[in-house]
Amino acid sequence: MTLTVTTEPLDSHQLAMTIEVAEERIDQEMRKAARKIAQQVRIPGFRKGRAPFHILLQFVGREAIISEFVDELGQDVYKEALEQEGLEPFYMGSLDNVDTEQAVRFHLTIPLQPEVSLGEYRDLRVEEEEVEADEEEIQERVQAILEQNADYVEADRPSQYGDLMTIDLRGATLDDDGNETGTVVFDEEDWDVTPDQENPMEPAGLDEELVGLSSGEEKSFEIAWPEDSPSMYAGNTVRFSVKVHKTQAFETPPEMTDEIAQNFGPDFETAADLLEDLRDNAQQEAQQRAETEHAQKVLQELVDMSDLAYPPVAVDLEIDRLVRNFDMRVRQMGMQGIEQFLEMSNQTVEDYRESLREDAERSLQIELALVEFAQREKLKVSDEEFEEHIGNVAGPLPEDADEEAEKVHADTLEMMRADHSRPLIDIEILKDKSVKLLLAIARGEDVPEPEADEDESEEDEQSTEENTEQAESSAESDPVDKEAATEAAAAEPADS
Amino acid sequence: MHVYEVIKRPVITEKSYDAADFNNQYTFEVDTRANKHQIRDAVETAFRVSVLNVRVMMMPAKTGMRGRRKVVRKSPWKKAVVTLGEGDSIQFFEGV
Repeated sequence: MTLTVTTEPLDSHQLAMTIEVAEERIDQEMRKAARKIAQQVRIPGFRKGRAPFHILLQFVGREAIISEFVDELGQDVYKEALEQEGLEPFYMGSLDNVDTEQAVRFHLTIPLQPEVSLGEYRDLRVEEEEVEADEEEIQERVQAILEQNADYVEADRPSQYGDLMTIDLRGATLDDDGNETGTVVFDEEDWDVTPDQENPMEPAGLDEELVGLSSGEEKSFEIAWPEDSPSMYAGNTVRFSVKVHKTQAFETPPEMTDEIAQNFGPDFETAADLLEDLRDNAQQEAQQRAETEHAQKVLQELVDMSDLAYPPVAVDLEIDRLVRNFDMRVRQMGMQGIEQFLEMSNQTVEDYRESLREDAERSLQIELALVEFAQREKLKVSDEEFEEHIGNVAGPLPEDADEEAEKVHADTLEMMRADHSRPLIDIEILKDKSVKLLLAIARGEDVPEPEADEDESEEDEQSTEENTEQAESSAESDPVDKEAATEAAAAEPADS
Repeated sequence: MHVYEVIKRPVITEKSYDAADFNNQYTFEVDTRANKHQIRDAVETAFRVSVLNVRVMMMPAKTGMRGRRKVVRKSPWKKAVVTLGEGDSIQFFEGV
């Protein structure tokens, strides 16, 4: 055995591993590397590639020779060490540093397989809250519809700002003595006008005078046109006479009528229909929200009650996934990719990644718990379920589909059935099933124990016990690190 | 001349290596003024070995060009090939 491996568990569900490579092996490697280097280096007194090993060693130095093969050696040694220790890491170990001073030692940090021990999830109960559609919300929606239907309605009251008034208006400038000069500023009949406080008409004060008039009322008043007005009448005093024909107020209908309902959509006959529909919708939405919330809560409970141990790199991978998804969405929006988006929002990629960390951690925890759950419950995806799922994803074949559309449809299905995508889809389905089952448990439904539960689960337990025993005995026979071996036995094979 | 002034450096080339490996002959650059006796003494004291035979030769000065015109001249030097007694050896490169 050419490797001496020592491992030491770290807090973060990782192993610190030191691999010391035996001297003979290093020697061999060095000679191999030296032959390679010798071809390139000119050493005075020797033809290329002819210098004896120790001359070369002196000439280029031990470090240089080692660095020639250390990367490759590291790869090989890493694999061998894992094999030797019976470890199945969750992800590539990271090389912290290489010690070459005397012996060659690789210091690595190896992320371990996540370990999940679910709590008593079958006792998990989360009250599903009864939800009622929020009455206020319904009212708001009704109000919104009513406002859409708002219109000018004749008002039997003195005019106000915002009303639509139909008036006759005549205005003429006055001379200094107060007599009309004959210059007519306004002469309008049946003029529709809306007195407005915010954006008054020229001359200032006219709107004000129009307010407070009843239908049929006549009024005459004088307004001094301001000096600084750009108008040609600036500085003049104008006498107006006004006759109000009618005043219309912009009013929202006070309540739902059949007419409004019919206007709203062809499906509604009466106001009651529309109200009911709104209520149903609101109820459904509230229900859905509650369900999502409930599911989240259940999942969170499952996570909380379980012991999850995973290396930090798992979170990073999850973040990677989120970032990739986001990148795809950004690209779909027509941007260059995530860099451009982040530039626009003045973030660095690191900031953004950091901001995702919490979400990533949560979703990772849920994911881990669910996978374990599915295993404990022996959930499997049957071929029928798979076909149904991909059928749903691909959508139904339209009735009038021509040959080409049919082909595309078939291709899509075929693609999903392919070996490389099937496992991914299976995982999706499995996740759905797990969540459903978990929710059923949380609701307190009588969920049958996994099939053939009685003997199989016991057997299962026995076999895991055996495994542990084996692992322990093997750990004893190979007294490098007992703990590492046990952990390895508990860990699942990596798919990385 | 002191014994330690005699030997300047070992000559390390393919040829000298072969000589050492196959014939037990070690090659040194020595002071041009040193004679065979001095070289024998120097090698025997410095490396604690017994010397059977010493052959010396003057290596010619060589000229080389540096740049277009400038002629660079290497000094001539004296090379000594020392045959050691059976079982003796010198670790080359101990002190260059």
